[in-house]
Amino acid sequence: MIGKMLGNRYEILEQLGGGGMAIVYKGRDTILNRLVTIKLLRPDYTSDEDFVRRFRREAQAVASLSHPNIVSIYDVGREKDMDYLVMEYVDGEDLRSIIKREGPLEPPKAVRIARQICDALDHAHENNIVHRDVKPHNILITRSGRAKLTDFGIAREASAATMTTSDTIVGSVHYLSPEQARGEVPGFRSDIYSLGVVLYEMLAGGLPFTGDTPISIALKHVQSFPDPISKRNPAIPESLESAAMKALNKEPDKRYQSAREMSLRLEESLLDDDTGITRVIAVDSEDMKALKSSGGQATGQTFSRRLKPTGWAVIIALIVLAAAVGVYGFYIFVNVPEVGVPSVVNKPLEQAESILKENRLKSTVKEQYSSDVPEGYVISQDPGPDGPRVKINRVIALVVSKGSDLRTVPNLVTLDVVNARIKLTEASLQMEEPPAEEYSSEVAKGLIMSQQPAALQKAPRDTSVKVVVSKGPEPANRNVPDLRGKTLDQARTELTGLGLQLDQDIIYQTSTQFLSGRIVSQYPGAGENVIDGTAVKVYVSNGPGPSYRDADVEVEIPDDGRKHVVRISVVDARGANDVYIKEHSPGERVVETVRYWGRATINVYVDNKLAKGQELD
Amino acid sequence: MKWSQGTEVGHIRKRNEDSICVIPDMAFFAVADGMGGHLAGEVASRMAIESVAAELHTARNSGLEKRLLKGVRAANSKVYEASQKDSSCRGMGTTLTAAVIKGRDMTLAHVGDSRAYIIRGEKIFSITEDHSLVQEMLKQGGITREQAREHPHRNVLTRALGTDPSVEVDIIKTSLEVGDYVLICSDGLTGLVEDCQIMDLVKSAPNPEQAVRDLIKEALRQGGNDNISVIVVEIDE
Repeated sequence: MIGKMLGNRYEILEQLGGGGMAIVYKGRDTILNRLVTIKLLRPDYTSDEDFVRRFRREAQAVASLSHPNIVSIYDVGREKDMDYLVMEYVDGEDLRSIIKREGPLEPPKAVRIARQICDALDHAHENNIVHRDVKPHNILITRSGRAKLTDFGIAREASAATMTTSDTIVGSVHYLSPEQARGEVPGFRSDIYSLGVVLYEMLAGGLPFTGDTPISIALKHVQSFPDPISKRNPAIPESLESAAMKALNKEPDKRYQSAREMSLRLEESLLDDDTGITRVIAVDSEDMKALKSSGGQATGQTFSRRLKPTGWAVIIALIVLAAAVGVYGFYIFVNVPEVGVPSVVNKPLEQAESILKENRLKSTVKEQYSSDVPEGYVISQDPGPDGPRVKINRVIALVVSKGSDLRTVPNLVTLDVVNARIKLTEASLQMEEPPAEEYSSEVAKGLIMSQQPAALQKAPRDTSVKVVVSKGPEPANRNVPDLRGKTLDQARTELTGLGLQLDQDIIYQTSTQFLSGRIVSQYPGAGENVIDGTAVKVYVSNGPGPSYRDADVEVEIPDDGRKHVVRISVVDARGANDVYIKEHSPGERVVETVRYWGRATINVYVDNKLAKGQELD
Repeated sequence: MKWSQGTEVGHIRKRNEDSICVIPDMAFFAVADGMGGHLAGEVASRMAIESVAAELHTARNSGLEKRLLKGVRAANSKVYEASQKDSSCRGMGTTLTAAVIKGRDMTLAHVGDSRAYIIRGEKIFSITEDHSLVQEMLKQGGITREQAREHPHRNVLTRALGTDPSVEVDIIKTSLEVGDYVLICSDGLTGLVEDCQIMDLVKSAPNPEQAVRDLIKEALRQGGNDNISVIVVEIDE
């Protein structure tokens, strides 16, 4: 592609990178004689007409944006089968590399970058464009320190075609808003969340959520609360921390309602530093941790309560008040009172609710069938009376009995799992998933060996029945044979005979010791004890193998008037082979040139008796 | 046993990337939903089904479960290798739900988000688990069933055949009862038509042929935004 001209105007100079859907080049606009960035849509996507249509439409929309903090789009075009995008060339690096190199950024620097992106988003949002993929990779920092947002949501979701997780937007799941993770249409406030993640990362030097799989990370955005930034980077001013955390609220309504609001708040947060506010927030932050540890939803509310501008006015007023009435009185005022949780188990729901209300607690109700607790009575509560005291207005989760709709547990033993699930569903019961598994020599593999509760017992509707499924007889131990030097066919036959398997995934490697097609090494190794059916992985030589050499073998035939059979056997990299068998007259002197590969043992037999042998290295 | 099969490109897509296969003398039934640009999706789904069928044909002596597993693994290697060799097939892959019914016993191999159901009495039971992003999120409680149905990434698979050098395969063995219907289908049906509606259509059709026609017609009526493939097997005396 280098040196190619696009649209008779843009010359491709060098490749800068290759994203999922496009390859990025540095180029030159030969008419205006300036550097440009060219994004070339990958051919896979070019064949998807619907995708190309959206790509062009959205590119045109983004091209209408004009802002110093947004990378401008100059042109959209098509050359033969290639769709491309021409953008402003930014001389600098992306924020990802900066964070990677520098770790946590100084708060003023982080805020400066975040505020510029706020300005960019504000402009885009005013033009009804949602970025949908704000992440450090898409934030470029010029040499003069200006932040520029790029890669607006140009046809980000490929098409309705089936695909795997590896080739979708799941790549940027670290910055995904909870509503995007749930599959809702992203709005302006989704961008604010993503920018919140970026800000968190800049300040903490690490992401709020990490995980093994994209799914686990996406779920954390939906369900988990991040560590306070100050836990990762204690140098962070409290006011800035809370300003950043507001952008990360799970509920869009409780985040900043515009990028402009976020920008202003971030600016204020730096000014707030070094004032008496620090202590007020400290109290509040304790409150937040308490709520977090109990897993309540209330955490989000805490953020918003702290951060609404009116809330701030109140807090500032309180400080003035505190100065007047003294620190002690102030603490009483801002500390939320705590109460002990009363026990309401085995009480009628109405009574339970009024007891909680008297104690200034709230409640939620979930219903469940129960054989012990009569209908309408509380089965359990969380948190219970034995736990620590809680803040007032804490929500206590109550489970209330729907009475005992008793079902007869069907007999599941010797059914397969699918049929057992069907039987249980028909009885309005369920199976505890996943079912346990055990070895059994009596019950065939895949069939249920035992169940709890037992068949014909009564159990409340929706009870989960525990089952144990047979894994078949316990596999016996086998000794792995030595496969080195053997062919795949030989190895397969030998392994099958022993109740083992050859791993399908065969790796070829060069070897000077073994001939092409021979096994070089294996895992598990020879002599290892493994269970029945284990697959043995082998590495096979694809040459060049040992070089061959020739040896002259001399045999004197006894001069005893009788004929003798001479046999020459070679054991080398090819295995054991008889290379010469012939009858000779008495007194004859036989000279035979024998070829061997690698290290070899050559044995000469006369009438099947070893006449001489030699090892050759 | 009576059966019928049908596949339809739908209203939106230009090509049918699903492949479907019934081999009566082996009672082999399979649906595969291919993915990848150009013709790659069709290539992948066709290749997968054919190599499983070929494996079942050749190795008739060993156990069914083993053969099926071996066939699916061979199919995986074949699709994967083809995708590595041919640049127009890069990244191709496919789902595969393949069943062999022997007497009253069904053995099923499953990868991806095509599905197999048993309709027994007045109830329908899904016996496969989707290897999809939304199913995983649903299982872990991140989203509700309703959100899963509307999720823009509901077509994203966590497991597919041919996209990696090796693949984990679900093998499901179960016994069937007289009067059961077995339904194997691609997500072009289940993405649009609710389970209970699928059951009603199958139960009210006089025979599998009509059931397949009715199911496809209903998916088309509800938008037909993807390829639709259906196999209906009726287990009789």
